[in-house]
Amino acid sequence: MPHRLLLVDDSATARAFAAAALEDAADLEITQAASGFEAIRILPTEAFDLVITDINMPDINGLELIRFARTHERYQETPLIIISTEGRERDRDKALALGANEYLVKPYAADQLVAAVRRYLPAAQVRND
Amino acid sequence: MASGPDKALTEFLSEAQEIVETLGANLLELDRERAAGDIDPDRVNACFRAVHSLKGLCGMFGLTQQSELAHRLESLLDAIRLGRAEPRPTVLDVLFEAVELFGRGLKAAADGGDLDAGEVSHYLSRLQAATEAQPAASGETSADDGLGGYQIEASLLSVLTEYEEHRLRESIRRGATIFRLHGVFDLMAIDKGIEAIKARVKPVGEIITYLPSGAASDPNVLELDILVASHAAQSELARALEGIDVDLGRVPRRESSAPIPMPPAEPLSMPAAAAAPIRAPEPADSVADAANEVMASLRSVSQSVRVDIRKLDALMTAVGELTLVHTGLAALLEQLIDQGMAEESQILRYEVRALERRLTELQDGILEVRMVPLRQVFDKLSRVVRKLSRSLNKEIRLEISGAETELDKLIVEELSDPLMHIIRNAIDHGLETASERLAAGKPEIGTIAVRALQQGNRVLVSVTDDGRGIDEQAVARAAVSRGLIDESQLREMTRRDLHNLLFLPGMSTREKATEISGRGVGLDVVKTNIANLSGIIDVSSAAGLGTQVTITLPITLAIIGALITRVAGRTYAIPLNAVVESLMLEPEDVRTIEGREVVSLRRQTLRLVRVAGVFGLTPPAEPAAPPQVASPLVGQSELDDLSNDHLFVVVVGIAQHRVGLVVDELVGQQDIVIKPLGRALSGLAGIAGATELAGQKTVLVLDIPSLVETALGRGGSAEAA
Amino acid sequence: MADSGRRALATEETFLAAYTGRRSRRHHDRELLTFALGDETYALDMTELREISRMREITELPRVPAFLLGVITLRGLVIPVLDLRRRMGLPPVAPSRETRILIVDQDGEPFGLLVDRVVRVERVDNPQIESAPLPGGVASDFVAGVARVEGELIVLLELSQVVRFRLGAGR
Repeated sequence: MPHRLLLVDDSATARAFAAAALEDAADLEITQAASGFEAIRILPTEAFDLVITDINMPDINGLELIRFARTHERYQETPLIIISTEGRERDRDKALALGANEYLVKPYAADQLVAAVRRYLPAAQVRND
Repeated sequence: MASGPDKALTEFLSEAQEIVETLGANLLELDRERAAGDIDPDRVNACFRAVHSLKGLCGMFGLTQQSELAHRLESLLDAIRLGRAEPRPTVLDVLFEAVELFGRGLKAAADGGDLDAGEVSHYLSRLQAATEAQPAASGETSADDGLGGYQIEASLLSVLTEYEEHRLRESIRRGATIFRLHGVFDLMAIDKGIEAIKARVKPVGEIITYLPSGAASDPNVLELDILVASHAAQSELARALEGIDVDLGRVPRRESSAPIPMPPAEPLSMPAAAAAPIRAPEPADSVADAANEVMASLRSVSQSVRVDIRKLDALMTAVGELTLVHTGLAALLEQLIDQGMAEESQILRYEVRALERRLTELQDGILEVRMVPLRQVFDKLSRVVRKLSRSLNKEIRLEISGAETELDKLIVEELSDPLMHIIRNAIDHGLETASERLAAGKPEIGTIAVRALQQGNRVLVSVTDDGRGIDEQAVARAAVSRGLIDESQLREMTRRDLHNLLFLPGMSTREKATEISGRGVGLDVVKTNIANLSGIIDVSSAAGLGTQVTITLPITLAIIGALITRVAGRTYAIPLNAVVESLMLEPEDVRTIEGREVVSLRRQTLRLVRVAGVFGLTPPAEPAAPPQVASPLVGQSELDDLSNDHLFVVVVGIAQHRVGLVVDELVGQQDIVIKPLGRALSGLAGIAGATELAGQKTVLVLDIPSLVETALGRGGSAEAA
Repeated sequence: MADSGRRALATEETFLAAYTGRRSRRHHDRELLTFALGDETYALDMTELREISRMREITELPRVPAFLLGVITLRGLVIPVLDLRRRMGLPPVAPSRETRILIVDQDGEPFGLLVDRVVRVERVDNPQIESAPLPGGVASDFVAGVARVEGELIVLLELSQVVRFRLGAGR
């Protein structure tokens, strides 16, 4: 049964980059959402094992998404990783306070992403080379 | 399909380019807003988000120079949107420069490179200088938390990003009231619902943030709280939201300004009492209905798809091939009917017709996808004019109309350079200095009008200035002195001919190239570029009043309707978009005036061009086989008796010019796919391309613009047999 | 020209077989396509050749030099066809059943060369290519050199020059 990851970012390139970094995972199924709204729509209907989201998105931002997930019965314990930008410590702290597990700072290197995913989904066999 | 990393790079370049274009457009708008004294905070935020995204993207792909550039721009724009800096003209100038820099940087990135470090640091010091001279930030740090006594619960503040918080405080500082909307949305239709609310609220207020509630009992709906800041009264806001199913309430506010403590995140719950009573979730139909009403005027960005234009080219080719198949089937059908099987082939006829209709739909659909508005080119022109206006110290008013006119994406891209050149010429040579203008009784500020207009299958793009006009004598002198024409030719030229001399290679009426208009070589290149797009360029001018340059372009390049004709035993196709009408005349109708053949058409004189003469064709020795082009299916067929007495004339027109092409026979109408002739044959006069008709017959397609030019411009020289 | 003692006349099939066959070459090998114009044998490097087409109707172009016969459409591309005989200064002849159009590639652009007969695909080890004096009447710009293969003189074409021409004086 594949592990399911939800990637949320309003930048198609950022999503493509993350997907490319993780493409060698043996047991990982990646779904992409281009906005907070899409993510909110998709989260309740499927079961994700890990959510990675950007903080700065228009309308529903990453913080609101984390709060939404943490108050949803299915995702209260699901690992949530946020992607923040350099210099935005306050936003980062808020995210952690809302229940995010860890953060990555943009621009991040592919292996940082891979390491993070391996930490939370060891069984997904994400290769790191 | 490209592998992971390649695909990501392509995606990056595409997205980054779009972001840069949007940034440019937003900066232009920001400039206008600043001049009007009414800056939209969303506009500044949009600029900020653009460079913010660029920074992240460039960083990911190792473009350190561009990433650094974006980083610094982001700091500047952040300061502006947080009210700590002002978007003054000097600052905007430097920001516009950044747009150009990124444009070049992305091109370099496509080849695996980046911007030059020296260039970037040079620019950054200019950026520094422009932002240094800012007055000290006027933001007062009040004793309280800036929330003006509003009772906004900590849980809400804990999900506001720094920017959203700033907008909230800023609104409060400016005396706005903070409202809270609460709505229940159908999860599937939520985009529409949100767009509807946005549209209603924007004129009267600012949306600070959306807060989803995770505790919905019904999995198909989403409950949202929306924070709105507005200077309007609650009743006005309620009126604006009429018909939309949301609850509107004011966020309670304490009269005293005791600061609200900010405890760490607590168990999350929305204070139900403060807002209006929450209704039970109702079907969201009314929201959707209201949304539909407003949808017509909205363009949801998330609904558009970026497509590689090569994929569209491939699709077009496929449709072209399908069209040929269709033609073949139709021919078969005709054969069956000829063999007396009309009744049996009824069903086939029905299907063939249906196929034709679907093909047309498909074709139209793809062509439409390739169309993009001229806006992106016009925005670029605006930036150039702005820059030139400042550096030349000539105040210029730029009027743009028709930016929404659409053309094939490739044509729009190819138009950029020619239009830039024409505008540079207008600014440099056409418009006089302020003092010259005043002395001539003209308004001090020169005007350049760029207009785009669609006329049937053509688009006309014109650049008009109210400057000094073309000095015909100077042009004539220059042409003669450069040996491009001699005195005797000069005497025979009309004013239009004189203007067109400007398009000859080697013409430049200024002795030295100026930095602005480059080396002055260019109008001939412009003309060639336009011709490569199957377009035509025209100049008209009045001394002291101004000059107008008009470019006429076909809307699409690919599948077109054509009129198939025969001349001296050869078959030629004439694009229907240039055909006005076709006539059958008697030889007696032709008169000769000043060595040119003309006929009278509805009391006007129509110049004739004998195609056989232009191409030096002699009829084939043996009697030609009867024309067997695939039988036409669309439109009328003018298969006439092959009597040699009649003259067949196809009247073609470009802009307002009309010429009659004399051919031997009109075979019929057909859709064709024009294929280019290739580099080696590109110098072939009078031929636009070739097409394949059924039966593997390759047929040349006439280049109407150049034939019309030849007929009208150079007199009868082209008709020497 | 008699072909006794040699392999059969090259057809599209044998050409394809040679082309798709063993692609590995020793670095001083060359694969040549040899063809005939009258009594003389000429050759092109196989890397320059895209395909060989049978003779077909060529659509003429207006006001072009005589060696430019016109265009054909092949696989959606419009390809200009040159009469190689005229190009090389030889008098033209009427096409026969053996006439072929060689579709060549120069710098990404396709061209067609009309030739009397295709002879064969020849793999030549380390060919000695000399610029020997040529049989009279053949334009020298178009010749890269002359090679002797199994006792026969083969004229190797300089394709880039053969297909280089300019049209008209613009509009």
